[in-house]
Amino acid sequence: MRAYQDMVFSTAARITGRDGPAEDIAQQVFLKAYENFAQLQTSPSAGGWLKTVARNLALNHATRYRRRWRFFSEMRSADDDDDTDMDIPQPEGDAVDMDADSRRAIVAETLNQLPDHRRLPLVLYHFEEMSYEEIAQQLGISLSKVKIDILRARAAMAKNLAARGLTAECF
Amino acid sequence: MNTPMHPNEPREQQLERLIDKALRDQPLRRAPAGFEDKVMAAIAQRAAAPWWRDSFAGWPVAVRLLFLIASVGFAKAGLDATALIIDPLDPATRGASLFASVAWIPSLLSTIGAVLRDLPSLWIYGGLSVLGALYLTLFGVSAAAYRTLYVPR
Repeated sequence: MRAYQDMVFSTAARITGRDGPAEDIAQQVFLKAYENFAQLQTSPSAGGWLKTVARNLALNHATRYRRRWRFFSEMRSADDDDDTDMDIPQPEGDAVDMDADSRRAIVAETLNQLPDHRRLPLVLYHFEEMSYEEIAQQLGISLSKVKIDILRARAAMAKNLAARGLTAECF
Repeated sequence: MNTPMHPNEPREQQLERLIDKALRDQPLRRAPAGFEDKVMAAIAQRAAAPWWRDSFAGWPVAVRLLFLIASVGFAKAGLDATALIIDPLDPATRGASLFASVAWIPSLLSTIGAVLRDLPSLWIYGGLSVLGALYLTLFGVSAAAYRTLYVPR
């Protein structure tokens, strides 16, 4: 369990965007693993099984939560959707020499600042390696909306990273 | 660590590469302190729970059979009771005492119907309008509160 708990928690935390539900989901994953202990004990793919279950449970939570609040969170004015700046921002400070831990902390913070409807498709694409089509199917939204949300999420992240002194040269 | 930008690469692809690099550089999040103890406690609690707290598939076979028989019995009793309420004008065949215990239901329904018929239609439509307006107000306030106080920017 110790070998997998960080991976399971990370998967759930990235998808839900919240630590409390992520901890509950991670706990459910290990309870399911306990129920299937006989088959997992000798399985070389136990890690993959745990990750898949964590992803599915977190997605169930995220989509249920999203459905509940869909009307409110997507009730946005036109100016909310005009923040797609395709330019790769230039550094605004001297943070290129920042140490790796600080840089990672800023990236994590920037990711968490995204609204849920943009953060979730971005996480599924980059962390869970799902295709645009799979994300659209999973979230029950159109393919074009997935692409636009991911594009805008990337643009917003790049802009916020640049504001903190992090640009392409830092990675 | 540095990722050179290719000048001829479309902006979208440059952006995708930048964010992909930044995100893949992220380490795993550490599970909260005491997480393992919580899981072990939940497993122990589940193991110690009585059989009836388990899912239906985990119940003993005899108990599952009894439960199914009892369910069928309850369903039949429910259907019989419904038939008595729908067709209460044959008390001789239904049993006088049972009929008497549910006889107030039709009279209650007819009283409610009479009251509704006697109410002026203006009152009914006015009441429905007020309820609708209150519902929309509550909905609007909830949406405004959510957008103002909760939704991440």
